[in-house]
Amino acid sequence: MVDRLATFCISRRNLVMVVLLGLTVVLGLVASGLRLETVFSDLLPADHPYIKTNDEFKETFGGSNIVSIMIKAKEGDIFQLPVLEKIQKVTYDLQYVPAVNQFQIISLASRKIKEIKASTGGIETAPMMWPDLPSGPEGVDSLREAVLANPLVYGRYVSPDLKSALITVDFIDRLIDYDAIYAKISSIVESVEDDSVEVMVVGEPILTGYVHGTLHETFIIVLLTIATIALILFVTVRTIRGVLLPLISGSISASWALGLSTLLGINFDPLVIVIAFLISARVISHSVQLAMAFDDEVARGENNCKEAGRKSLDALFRPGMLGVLVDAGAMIVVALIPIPLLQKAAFIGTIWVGTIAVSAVILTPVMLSYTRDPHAVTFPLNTTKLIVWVLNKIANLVIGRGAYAIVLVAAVALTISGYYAFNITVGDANPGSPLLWPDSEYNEDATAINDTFQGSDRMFVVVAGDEPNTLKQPSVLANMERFQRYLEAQPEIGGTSSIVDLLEPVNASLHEGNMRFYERGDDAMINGELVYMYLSSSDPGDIDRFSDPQYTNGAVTAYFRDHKGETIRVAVSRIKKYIEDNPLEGAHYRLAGGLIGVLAAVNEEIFAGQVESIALALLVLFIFAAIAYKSTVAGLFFMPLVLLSNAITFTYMYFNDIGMNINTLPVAALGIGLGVDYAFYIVDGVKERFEDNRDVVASIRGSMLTAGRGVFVTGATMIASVLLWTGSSLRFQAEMGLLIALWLTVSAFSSLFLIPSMIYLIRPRFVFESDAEETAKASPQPA
Amino acid sequence: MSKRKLRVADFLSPVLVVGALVALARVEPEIEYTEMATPAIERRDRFYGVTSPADNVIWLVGKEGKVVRSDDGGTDWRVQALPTVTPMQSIIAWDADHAAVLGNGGEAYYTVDGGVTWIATEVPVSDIAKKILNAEIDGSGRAWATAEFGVIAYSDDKGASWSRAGHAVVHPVSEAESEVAEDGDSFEEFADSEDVAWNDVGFKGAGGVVAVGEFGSVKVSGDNGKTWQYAEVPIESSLMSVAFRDAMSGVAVGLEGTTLFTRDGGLTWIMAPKQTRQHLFAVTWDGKQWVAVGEKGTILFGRPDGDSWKRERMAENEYGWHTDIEAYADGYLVAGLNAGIWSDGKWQLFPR
Repeated sequence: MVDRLATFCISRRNLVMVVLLGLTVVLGLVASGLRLETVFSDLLPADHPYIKTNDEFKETFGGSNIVSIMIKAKEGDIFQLPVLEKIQKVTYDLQYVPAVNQFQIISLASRKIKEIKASTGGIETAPMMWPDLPSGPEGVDSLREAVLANPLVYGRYVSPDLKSALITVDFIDRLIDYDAIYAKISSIVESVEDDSVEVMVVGEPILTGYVHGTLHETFIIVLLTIATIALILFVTVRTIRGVLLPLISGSISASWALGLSTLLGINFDPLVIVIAFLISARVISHSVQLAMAFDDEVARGENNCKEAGRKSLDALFRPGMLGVLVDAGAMIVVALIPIPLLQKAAFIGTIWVGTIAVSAVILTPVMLSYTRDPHAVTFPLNTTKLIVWVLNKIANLVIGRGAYAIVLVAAVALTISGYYAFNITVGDANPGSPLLWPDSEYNEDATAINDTFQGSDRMFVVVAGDEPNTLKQPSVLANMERFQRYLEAQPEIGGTSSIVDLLEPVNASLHEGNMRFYERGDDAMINGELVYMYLSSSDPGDIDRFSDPQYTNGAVTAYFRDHKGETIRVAVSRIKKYIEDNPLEGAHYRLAGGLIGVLAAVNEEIFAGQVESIALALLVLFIFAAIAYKSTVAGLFFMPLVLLSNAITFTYMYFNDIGMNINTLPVAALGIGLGVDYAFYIVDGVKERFEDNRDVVASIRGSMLTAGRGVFVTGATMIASVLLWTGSSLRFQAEMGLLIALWLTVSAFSSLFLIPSMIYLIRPRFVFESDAEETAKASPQPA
Repeated sequence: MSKRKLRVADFLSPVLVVGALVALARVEPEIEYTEMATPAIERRDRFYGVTSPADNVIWLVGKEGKVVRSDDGGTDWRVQALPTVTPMQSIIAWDADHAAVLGNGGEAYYTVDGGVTWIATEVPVSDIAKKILNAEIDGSGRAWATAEFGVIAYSDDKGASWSRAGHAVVHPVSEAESEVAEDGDSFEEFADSEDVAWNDVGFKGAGGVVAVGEFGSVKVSGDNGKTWQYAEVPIESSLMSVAFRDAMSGVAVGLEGTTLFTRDGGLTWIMAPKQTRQHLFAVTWDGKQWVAVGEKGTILFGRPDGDSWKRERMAENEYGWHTDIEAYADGYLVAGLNAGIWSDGKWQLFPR
């Protein structure tokens, strides 16, 4: 069948070319309409209970897109009119940021920050610095005192050293346009920045805007990468076709995949560019293999380029398609993780990998068949000789006793790296954003804000009451306060807040400011009175951050200093334990909203999904390899290589503090199938040759000099070019570049050393028995 | 090589591999619970009372009925389980073994074994408002507790049992009280339903007791609390703490930075010039000077006469409130929003 396909493609090559190139042009035009954007809801597993809690309460208790702006006085404290004015200006200007939630702009200058004053008639609450700035030095002094006296402000919106003020703002998730928010907030920040203050900004919209801002740099890296690939191919294969054809295949695949994505309405997250690159690397790798096979046919004396093209297509169709299927299968299983971003990446990835079947496996030999002078080279220095020399040395090693040593080394490496691979962090491994370098402005701002204040990343846990006024019940409040104490035992949690914190100072104020009354009321009526007192001179909605208006549902909010995977995991596990041990009366706790709550949900899905996707990817490999070679041994044969490259890469991630998160998982998942096609080509090369010459040693050597040369060339190409990514100002891209390089290196080395050694030692039947023989054996034999 | 063996392997391997991988894919990883030790002193702790009955022994008591003790001068702490979560306002201790804690709702506990076990006891507080606000031990070893709604109680058995001090008020000493009398109330009636929260008591020796409380109330007893007489006080804001250095000289501090001193054993009080508008919650005599603490990190030092005070901040960034102070070694134990040792201008918080 393969034979007929190959013959058809070559004999009707003009038709094939026209159809495929036509498709490419059309889909390329469609792809120009691709939306390059981050859609917030894509990042969340919508059915996860935490996300449901977040969706239900985020408008009042604070969602995951809160932006924190810190204004720090360079000299003295913030209690000087010019600085207060800046705080006011930022607070005021934030109202005009797109998608802003007007009720969730909180700062010293907002209406919600209030002073509680005891007076003869009870207590009064009045905004501290709204609508007007304090007048004169006396006003500033009394503002300072009011701040110091209010634990809801002091330490939370004004730093303990009084040198910094915090402004927080939340957005309406469904309206968010990250780039617009980033641009507007940046201009607000610029408008107040001068010699007297430093302004720092942190929050998901800012981070995303910042990442989008580096897109132009990413494109430069992509161009440089392509140039590097072209250069290395040129040096190693010495023909224009050897350079152009892989790049053409890469472009065709890209145009098809992106065009189809656009047609399907899938948007493209800029962070997925790394995956695009990764898949393009696969396309090029396959295409180079076919070009090498073509050269090999020519070298073996086939001077008819049409025939050489047909033969190479015929010979490499099986390993090529197997590689494509395994890569695609490994990619599509990622879609089982219910996070839209991952599912979209999985779909795009699968489509993209699927296009390799046409763009490289079929199209490359078809294009090669047009070659006029297959022997012509562009420069006389024969690099091939050098490569062949190296490959011969390797062949000498693997054919013989060296094979034992190699298998042993691989086994030891697998054991050691396998041990560490299981320790990989789920979630982010570092404070700050793992997307950026620690010394990036954003991460430095994040560090400064988290060092100065209680922590900028929030999680709210909802206390869901069975009936109104649940939050006034002493037993519920006592449980909440105990919960807050418990949470605060974790060092990464800078503080917590709840309605309890509101009641205590009111009670003290009601008792002339006697701090011995800094406590909750003994019964629901007194607590109701305290709330009433607090709200008596305030606006509806002032208590929203702590409770709904019926006092049925309330929030316990924890302020985290970082959102490392470990921090979140520890927090969630402890919270679950607390809830189990401390049941509420007439209410229950619901996990969890805010950035930390959302990340907890994402991490849980990834944690549950990563083992599943790795297992399923291995299953895909097993089934396809078993079917392709009609042998279950074949299914198992490639596993050591895949396990080894994954274990080593995960070990690298573990030692370099790279966590398994929403951004790294797709790369890791695709990596499972990454490089196994190298082995397919080597194995298939041995098999093809053995069918001809029935000589084990000669077959292995022969395969290594042709398929192995392809592995060598593409390996070198890819590794050199991905290293360019390490210069990216996005840490994520740099690290993923390194990871991919590592994956490819291990796979390439394994394919060149381990696989031939295993073939030599094991002599698997699926390699050394022809398909015809196997078919004969499979049918019933006479006794 | 036997073909049959290979057949079995051929048959088994796919089942095993597929089975194992499917099983692996179905694994639902559990997130392990991470044990995390709660520090003895937590960020949310509010300690209303502090005392040191012996070298290096320090007790703190406060919110949620929490009692912690250190035996090494405040480096290591351990929580002592009090059978309550009610806020406790004060701790008094006779020695490293005998102590009592008292607090909201009239709840009181005593220990005879250094706090290993705490035994509940009853204080005869009012039925209307039960909060015990403070407790002190006088020179003879008698314990005194002051509470809401006019209640002052004492214990002669190291906190095991408590009795109410007398209510009887002898002759009025000021016109203010005379006016009240003319309104038709007898002093006895007035005293029995005294709606005054007594915040603290001080001792002059030889049965001399002085109580201070809400609305500038001060009463003086010369007979260990059997009978009292009201003192002449120039203010109407609440007094929070009182202390004497001898039979005649004492000071009282209170809200809005009030500092009063007396030179006649508490019968008349004179206002010292105010150094702060912050509330002052506790005052003590350290043998050389008066020291008071209060809101927003305020610490006040008074000359022995009590007529002149100097204000300092406990530390540059200390803006917390404090409700108790006790002389300790070369400095002071201070407790409130946080707790620590203030010595020689340095504020050393207890580890938390």
